[in-house]
Parts: sequence; structure tokens; C-alpha cells
Amino acid sequence: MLSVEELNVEYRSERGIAKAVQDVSLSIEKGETLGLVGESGSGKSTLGLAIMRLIQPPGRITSGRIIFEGKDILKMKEEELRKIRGEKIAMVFQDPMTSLNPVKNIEEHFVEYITEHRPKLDREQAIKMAEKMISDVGISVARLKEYPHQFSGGMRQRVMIGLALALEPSLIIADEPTTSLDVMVEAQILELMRRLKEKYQLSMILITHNMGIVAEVCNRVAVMYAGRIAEISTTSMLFKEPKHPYTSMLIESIPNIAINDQVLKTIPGHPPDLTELPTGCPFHPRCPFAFDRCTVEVPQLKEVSKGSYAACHLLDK
Amino acid sequence: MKKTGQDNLFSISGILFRPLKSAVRRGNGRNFIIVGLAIISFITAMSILAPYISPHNPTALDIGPPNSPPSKQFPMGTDLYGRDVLSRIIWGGRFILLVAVTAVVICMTIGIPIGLLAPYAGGYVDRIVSLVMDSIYAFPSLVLAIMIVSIFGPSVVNDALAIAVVYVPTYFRVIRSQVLTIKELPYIEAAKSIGANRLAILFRYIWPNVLASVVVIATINFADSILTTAGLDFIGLGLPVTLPDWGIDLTYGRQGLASGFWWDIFFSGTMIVLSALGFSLVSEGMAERTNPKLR
Amino acid sequence: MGLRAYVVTRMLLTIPMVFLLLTIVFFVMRILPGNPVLLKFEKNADPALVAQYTHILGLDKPLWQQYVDYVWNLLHGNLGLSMAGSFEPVGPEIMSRFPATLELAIYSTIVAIIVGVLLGSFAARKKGSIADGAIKIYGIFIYSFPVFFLGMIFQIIFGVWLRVLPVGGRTDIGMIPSGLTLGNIHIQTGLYTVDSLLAGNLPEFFTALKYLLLPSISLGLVISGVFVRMTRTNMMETIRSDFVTAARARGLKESTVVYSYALRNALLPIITIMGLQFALLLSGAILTETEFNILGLGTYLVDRINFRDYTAIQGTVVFLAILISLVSLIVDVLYAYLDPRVRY
Repeated sequence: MLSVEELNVEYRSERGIAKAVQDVSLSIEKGETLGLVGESGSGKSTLGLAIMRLIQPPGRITSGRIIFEGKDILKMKEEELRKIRGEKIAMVFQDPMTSLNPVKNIEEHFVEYITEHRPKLDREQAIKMAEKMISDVGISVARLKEYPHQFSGGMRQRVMIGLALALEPSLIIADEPTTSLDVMVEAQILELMRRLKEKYQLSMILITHNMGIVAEVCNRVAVMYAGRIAEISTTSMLFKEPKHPYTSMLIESIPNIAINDQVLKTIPGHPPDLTELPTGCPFHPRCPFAFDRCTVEVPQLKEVSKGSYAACHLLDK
Repeated sequence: MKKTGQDNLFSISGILFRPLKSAVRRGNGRNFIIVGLAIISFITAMSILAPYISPHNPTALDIGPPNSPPSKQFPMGTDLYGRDVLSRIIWGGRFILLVAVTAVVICMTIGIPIGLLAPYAGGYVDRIVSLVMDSIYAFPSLVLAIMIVSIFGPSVVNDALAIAVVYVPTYFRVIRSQVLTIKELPYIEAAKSIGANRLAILFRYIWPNVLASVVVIATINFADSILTTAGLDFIGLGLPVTLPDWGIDLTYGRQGLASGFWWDIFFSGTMIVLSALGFSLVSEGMAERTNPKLR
Repeated sequence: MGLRAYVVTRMLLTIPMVFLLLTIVFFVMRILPGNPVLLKFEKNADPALVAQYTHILGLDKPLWQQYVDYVWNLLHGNLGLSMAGSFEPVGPEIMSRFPATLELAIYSTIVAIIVGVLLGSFAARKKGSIADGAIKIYGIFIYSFPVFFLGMIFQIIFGVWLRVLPVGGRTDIGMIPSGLTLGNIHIQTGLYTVDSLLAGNLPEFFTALKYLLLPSISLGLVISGVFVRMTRTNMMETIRSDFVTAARARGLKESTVVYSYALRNALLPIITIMGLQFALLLSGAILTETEFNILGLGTYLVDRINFRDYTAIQGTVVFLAILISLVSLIVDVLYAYLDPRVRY
């Protein structure tokens, strides 16, 4: 239903041009949950924003296509784009503390947005929809008139989710929805999202750096590194047989409570500065299997087995 | 992607105006501070060296024909008393700068200690001092200056005092809020745990952070002081008329305006704007550097 | 703390604040040995005259008595007696001059806010561009102008060279608006623009506006410097915040996002500095009135200084102190009302 083709996004900064997303292609089917994983700076959040064309200067989408329901989002006019945002594709943001307008109450958030997209509805009907949605996410209807600062982080995230789903979009992009929440609340929110996903038949792109969540919730996973896709695969394949060295190192670095005396495995080095990317494969400085080809040629994403793609020169050997 | 109109304009003018464009576009903290300091140094040097660089005695009457426009002999013309405007401009900053320096010194001497100690003392002391400061805070410095100067007469100290009184609350407020914030930070806890006493904490940890804010306020203080002094001159509460002072020239040059004698007003006014600008630039530049969100 | 509790507390706090200011004024006027009457007459002091003045003005009473009388009088709206000749009460004089200052202040504020907010939000949206840099510099530059200097420049350009606008005064001779009379009630605010509209007299209105143009623009522009900088800073922060992006992500119109989300939140903190801005406004008004020959409180004060009319000066300063405290109070309450985080 959504297909990203050779997308490139760059940011202009004082130190130069940062290539946040490079030649990224992926697609998502109806009803599936695609996980988008990577470290900070991998470009996953940028990709999420780019899909809805929310990149603001100094960032720019420089090339590519994003095909949604047969049309290229990047070529759409402002009017058309606005109709899609919030109605067909919706986004849930990372930090619930700052994602709501402090001077408007929750009801206002809903009504403003609902009436914008459904001008035929009057205020009463919009409020009814809001009430339905807010109780669906587990918040009592009476709290609609309250202001964001009166809610806790977890509750605010529920509000955000409610807002995202109010008009029954077909695709939700969730950018690290539980990262700033504590573990208990995180579990609740994930459960909520799973339930709603089933109820409304949603497709979801879940952006996160937490492999644990990915394992639980996602059908397929795309691993990003330094703005490029390193591997895309079904969740089970990814964890059972990771094809890209980065993926396997990521999986290995997940701490396991069950094993005693475990030395924490980390990936040596740190992610590259996006304004000064290494030549060839961006991962080669940290990759234990790097060889000469890796330093000069950027590996392309190739199908390794059914439904499993990776971008690594090792696979050609 | 479509090139915006702005991009096109840039391409054309880019080559021609690149250096200027870069300066205005970046207009960032460092540029401001540099330009500001340059202006301040220039004016300070000029005022200090006045006796040596001034071509004529600024108070000497009838050196040239009164109200004559800028010429080779008198590059800035003469005023209505036949005095050389250039000399008056060179000498004219002394009083204004002196008042400004005095005001800032008084302000800092009173405001900083109170700002540092009140939040530490806490409780009633803090509340009462805050109340007093809040009362004075919104009072216009010019009005207070008018009151003081009209009774006690114009002098460097009196003018400075009036300006200082109204500015102390600003130092107090900003320093106090910083102290309150820093006081709670974890690294202060850490310092306490290794046995640092209150005074040590104050000086080694809190003061350096507060310093940046102090500079920002002090420079605004300077700029404001310059403008208030000029204002006092305008109302007639400045120093005796014969002394060279930009504000005085601006005030008395007014009479020649209708007849088209623009030079006295123009040069003296510009000097006032320039000196206030210098300090304001430093202030804004410092503020930008200490607040990374602004970049 | 709820809104009501806050308002009440704030109002109660105003009382000691005003008292403090009043006391300061009282003592400043009496610090010098001797009394203000002597100051007025200086060397030409005819002892009998001095004694008479001193007595009439109550300056021969013991200090504590004077203070009590002072406060008592103030509570009854009595701002003292002028030292000029016939000992007119200062209060009515102030009230007759105040409207002119108020009118100037209002229009200057309007100019300052419009210019400030427009330029500031524009600069924030075009961050990093030439426009942004230029506007930033404008903010600092315009504020460095002595307001009367700017006034002079405008007077030369528009009054002398182009001859399109008057250089002083409030209206043409004989065109003072008289306000509205409804039966036995006569409404006259003293604000020429308001009075002329009340009377339905458009030519009067436009004339008064014409005279207001230069003074309010010069004062307004200087003050806009602060608004420009603050709006720009706040907008820059707000427009890049999450809730703005989230609003866009919901498909709201860009204008809604900029105004209802970004600007509203950016402007809120600016209200907190309004109180301080009022002080600047008053200082500037004194100078502007003098420059443009507007008969308001500013010129009254300057006048009284020239006459060494100390009691009148005291009365005026007291009036200003109370006015400022009231404005501070209103601003604080307004902010509390607008920011739901304070209300609930």
C-alpha cells in the first residue's frame, strides 16, 4: 500500500550537508507492521517524517518517490497532501510531553482536527467522535476538557494515539512511541496499539531502537544504518538468521537476563558523522568482516532468500 | 525539487554580495560581539584620548562662523555658538560613558551580592528582598532620574545612581533564578558530598555560570544608561550647557532644525546611537552564544 | 493554585509594593536638609515668603506627621498642592494632562506590537536567511535610538522636507473634539481620537490621527525593537517544537499551525515583559511629548521641573508609580488567565 523508492533526504548544517536518508527503498503491505530499527542518527525518524513530507528546512527531500494508493506523495499539491495527513496516514510522536499544544484542551485538539478533515460534521458530532476515541484508548470522557499538562506521560501518549486513529487512517507511523515512557506504561501502550491495530485493520511502521519491541510486535523489520537500509526481512528470519553483520551485532548486544556472568556485548566504535560519511559501505569502519571491496563500493540491497534482503558484499562471496 | 525564488535570488546576488550576505545571514553571536567590541573600543579610545586628538577646544566660542555646514576647515561644521562640532563630538562621550560606567559599577556592587545571597538565605529574607525588587523593577529609570536629579542636581554620581537603582532588580532576578536552578543540580550535590562548603560552592560552581548572564545584563545596562543620560539632557536636566556632550548637542541643535542646520544633530545623534548599538551588539551576541537554542 | 487564589494574592501583593514606592518617593523628596521650598527659591529666599509656602504646604510639620498626612491624602485621591503661585491641587492638573499621554501610549504600543510581532514571526519562519539576519539587526539597531532623535528625523523628513505631516501638537487649532453629550451625561475621554468618534465627527478623527502619526510611530518603532527580538526568539523555539510538527501531521492548515499553535505559544511569555515595556513606554512618552509638543503628563512633568515645583513633581511621580503598579497587576493577571498551566 505504501512504497518508498530511492528516497534521499539531506540536512544542511553549519558543518556541511548531512545525508540523513540515502537511496532508501522499502514497502509495506496492508495490515502489516513494519519495524524500522537503528541507532540514533540512522535516519529512521527522518524517514518516518519524510513519508508524510514533514521535513522542514534546513532539511530537504532531494529525490525519490513515495507511492501511496497509487500516487506519489512527493509530487502532490499542498491541498491533497493535507487531506492525506491525519486522515489516511497518521503519526504518533516520540515525546508525549511536548507533542500537544499546551494552550488547547484535548477536546479542542480533536474537534479542530476532525472538522478540518470532515467539514460536513458539526461541532456536536465531532465531539461525539472524540468521546468515542478517547474511551477507546482508555481515558475517561470527562477528561476531554482538561489540558495537556494535567495528564501524565503515558496518558498523553494515549491521547496522541487517539488523535492519530480518530479518522481511521490506513497507515500509522509510530516514531519511538514508548521510548520516553517507563517500562510498565510501555507495556500498556504496546498492548493498546496491538488491540487497536487489530480492531481498525491498520498497517503500521514502528520506528524504534529497541529490538525487544520489534521481536514482539512486528511482522517485518528493516534495519537502518547511517541513512541506508542494511537489511529487510521477516521478524523471525531476522532474529534466526541475520544476513547483515550489523544486524547480528545488534541482536547479540541485547542483554539476556537468563544467562549469568554475561559480558555486555557492544558494537565497537560509534555511528558516523552524517556530514562526513566513509566511502563505500558506511558500516565498514566498525565491521569485523570488512574487506577491500567494502571500502570503495556501496553495497546494494539484494534479495538473499524469499522476502529477505540485505546490503552487504559478504553475500556475494 | 523546485528551486524557490529565494534560491534564484541568491544565485544572482551571491557572487556580488557574498561577504556581506554571509555576515548578515549568519549574523551570529561571534560577529556581533566582534563588531560591538570594536565600536566600544573605538569610542572609549576616542573619549580617553580626546585632549590629544581634538583639533579645537570644544567649549571655545566663535572659533568659526556660527552654524556653518561641514567644510574642510570644520569637517563636522560649527554649532550655533560657533564651536567646532568635530571637537565637541570627540569630547562629547566622556560624561555619558562615565555615567554609564559608574551606574553599572554601582549596580553590580549591589545587585550581584544580593542576587547570590538571597536565594541561599532562603525563607523570609528571600521573599522580602524579592518583593522589594519586584516593586522597583517596573519603575521607569528616566522618571526616577528626573526625581533625583531635579532635587540633587545633575552630576555623574546622581545620574548614575538613578539609573543604577532601577537596574539592580534585573541583576537580582536573573542571578537569583540561576542560583536557584543551579543549586538543585546533581553536580552541586556531588560537590557537597565531597565536603565543599557553601561559600566554596558559590564561588567555584555557581559564579562561573552566572558570569555569562551578568555580562549580558551589564551590556544592556550600559546601553540603557547611555540612552537615559541623553534623555535627561533632552529634558534639561543634563550638565551645564557649555560642557561638550552628545546629548546636549542633540538637544540644543534642535533649534537649528527648521533652518536646515542638520549637522550638529546628525553627528551627535549618530554617536549616541552608535555607542548604544555597540553595547547592545555585545549583549545580543553573548546572549546568543550562551543560549544554543537560538543558533 | 487556582486562578482566583492567584489573582487575590497578586492584588494583595500590590499594596505593599505601591506603599514601598510611595515611601521611597516621599523620602527622596525630603532627604536634603532644609525643605523643598528653599530649594525652589534658593538664594532669593525671602524668609517670610518661604515661611508662608512652607506652612501652606504642610512642610513645617514633623516628618512622621507629614508621612501620615501624605498617605491619608493619597488614599483620598489628593496628590498634593502645586508650588506654583496659587497652590492648585496637583491631582486635577494631572488628570487633565493624562489622556494625551494615554493616547500616545496606546497608539505607540499598537505600532510596536504590530511591527514587532510581524517582523519577529517572519524572521523566525525564515530562520537563517538574509531577512532573518536583517530583522535581528533591526531589532538591536532601532532600540539604540534615543526616541527623540528618531522623532527629529521623522519631523525633518515628513514635516519639513515633504510637508505631509504636522511636526507638533495634537490637532489643528479649534478642532479639539468635544465628545458626546447624551442628555445630562457628557462623555469626554480626553483622547482626541476617541472623542471625535464618539461625536461622530470623522474629519476631527482623521486630523487627530494625522497628528498622532509621527509621535506614535517614532516611539512605537523604538519599543518594537524589544518585541521583534522576543517574538523572533520565542517563535524560533516554538515553530520547531513537537506539537507544531504533530499539528502539521494531522493535516491542519499551515496558517492554523503557525498562528494557533506556534504564535499563540510564542507570544505568551511576551506578556510577562509587558509590565517592563510599560515603564519604557512612559520614559519614551515623556521624551516624545517634549519633542512633538504634546501637552501630556510628560510635558507637565518637564514643565514643573523647570519651575522647581517639587510638590507637583512628587505628585506626578506618585501617580506614575500607582499607574505602573496597576498595569503590572493587570499584566500578571492577564498572563495567568491566558496560560492554562497557571489556571489549573
